[in-house]
Amino acid sequence: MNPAISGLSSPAARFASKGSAPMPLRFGADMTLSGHAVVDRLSRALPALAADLLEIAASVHAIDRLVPRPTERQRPPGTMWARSLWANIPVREPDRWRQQIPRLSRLLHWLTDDDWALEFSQLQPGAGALDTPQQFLFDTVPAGAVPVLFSGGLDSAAGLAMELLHSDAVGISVHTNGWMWRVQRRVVGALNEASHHRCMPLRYRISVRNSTESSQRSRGLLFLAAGVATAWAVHQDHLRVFENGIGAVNLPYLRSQQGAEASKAVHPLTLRMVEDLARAVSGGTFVVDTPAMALTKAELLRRVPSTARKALGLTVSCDVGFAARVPKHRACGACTSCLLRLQSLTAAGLTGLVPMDIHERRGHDRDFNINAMIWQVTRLRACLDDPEPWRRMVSEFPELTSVTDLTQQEVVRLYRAYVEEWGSNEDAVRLYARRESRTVALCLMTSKTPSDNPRR
Amino acid sequence: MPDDDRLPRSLSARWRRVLKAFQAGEPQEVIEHHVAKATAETLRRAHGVPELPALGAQAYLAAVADHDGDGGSRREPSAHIPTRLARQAVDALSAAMKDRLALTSPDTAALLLARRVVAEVAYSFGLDRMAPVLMGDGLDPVELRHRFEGIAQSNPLGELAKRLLAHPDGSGLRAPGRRQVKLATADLMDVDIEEML
Repeated sequence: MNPAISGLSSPAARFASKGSAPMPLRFGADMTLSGHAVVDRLSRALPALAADLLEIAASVHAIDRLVPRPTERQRPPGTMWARSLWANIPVREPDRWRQQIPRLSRLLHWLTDDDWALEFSQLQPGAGALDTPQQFLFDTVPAGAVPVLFSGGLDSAAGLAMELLHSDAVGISVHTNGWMWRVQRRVVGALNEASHHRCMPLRYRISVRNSTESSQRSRGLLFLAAGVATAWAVHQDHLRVFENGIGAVNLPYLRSQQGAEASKAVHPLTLRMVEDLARAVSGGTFVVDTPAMALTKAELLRRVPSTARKALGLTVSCDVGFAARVPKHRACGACTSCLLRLQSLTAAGLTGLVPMDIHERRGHDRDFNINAMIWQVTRLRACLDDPEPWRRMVSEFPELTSVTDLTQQEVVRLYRAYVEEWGSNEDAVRLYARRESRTVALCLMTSKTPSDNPRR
Repeated sequence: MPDDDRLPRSLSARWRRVLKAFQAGEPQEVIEHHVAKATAETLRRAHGVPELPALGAQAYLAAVADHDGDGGSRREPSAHIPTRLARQAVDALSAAMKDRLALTSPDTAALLLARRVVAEVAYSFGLDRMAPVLMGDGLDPVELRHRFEGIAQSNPLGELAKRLLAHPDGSGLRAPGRRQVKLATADLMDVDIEEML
């Protein structure tokens, strides 16, 4: 019996932060990682390398959530929120993974800002959280189905809808609670209803007990590892990730944001590093495909067939929209994810999908985030008005030097489109962000089409 | 994806003084002086940017040789924010101004980098943190950006950059004093009291 499913704890990984004693991290006790839904659906066990990758990502994610970052007051002046972390993780093929420690550490440092010292030890046969004693005879995956990462958010649903126009897909998701899974299931159900092709949903469940750190910057690796591992399990050498370019690059809104304070979960460099790791550890080819990287969120939404709009309306973008503590799981309407969703739906002329029932976050300054976003747009606009926009942009936003997937012309076009979208809808988004003005904002948005407003 | 982005917004007492100066509508020259003082204090407390001279030389050499240097600025990013900002500035200058840097001298390139670092520290620890607050107070973001740019290019910050180059570890770093114009008594007789306040 699989220890994670049976409730028994499996052999422990160990971890420590700088200055603290090593602690055990037990699957089934300190954290749960369940892939039985995937295994049952596929009628196929995960290959050893795939299970290793996913268990490493899950262990890292758990450690990331268990070690609190220092607050700005707690750390020496002028230093970041970085931690020094050590982990020893049991895997099926430790020699292979030891060779990838530099790659993995670099990737984790990029994603989390932390220094990771990783070690790998031998996992006892059959003792892993994802091991299964079952033997399968049949292959249930439709031939040619494309592995697509699916979070339950707007971009991945839009991408899946576009994918289902041409082929069947395997929608790979990770969920941390029942509500998240229900949202993902409803969206896939609505997409399947609207399409001739089928999406087979494959889900992993992970939960961490007694977590104290909410930043979760390693979450991107967890999702991508689930995607790569599942692609391997269905004998594919590619994974499709749908995220718009603005969200993927996620330039800091304010220059006070350092490193991963602006999250890098699907940053182009993250995707290339994951791709590189997958190739190096497997010795084969692997491609992480990003069809929406050169598009704004609104441009991506405009490409979605109208039959899939119902599914888009079921998606959740809010940073806290899946949190158990939020009454009725309503969106907050004020986090940068909610605001980008609102901006894109407005710019795409899909205001009917804007949620009006939102959750008021206590002590949250509703204006700060929208002002920070408009501040970034103001800076971008000044760069784009320059006779040499690329030079000016890279000087103002040095983070752009790490965007290697797009040409300079594509970057300039992408941000020009984004800034123009804001120019048309800034007043509406700003009003919406204020709770008391929400009805006015909706009227404003519904009375306006993207081309109505000549403001830039 | 903007997934639970963190937007640091806390201000030290010196930077709160700058915010108050903006909110009170104090003249730009006075605000520039406050910003220089706050930036100097931030750099002093954070122990400056010890590798600033080396980074300046690296930026210049990379520009002259027309290549990306030895990749020094692309080492693992530092957890020390001013150093991180300095390395990013080298990358940005190399990408955006390589041809112009090559026409300067090593000393000028180092000063150019120091000016950029001082401005980035001011933005990172103060100005950008207060921008959304000031916009909430009704300031137009375009006008605010122009005012911030003026501050970044002001004499007090330029002088502070020179001092940082002389003391890259930030020890004893102080903002330049504000020059007061002394008027002769006879001239003072012709000035309105309101104008002097």
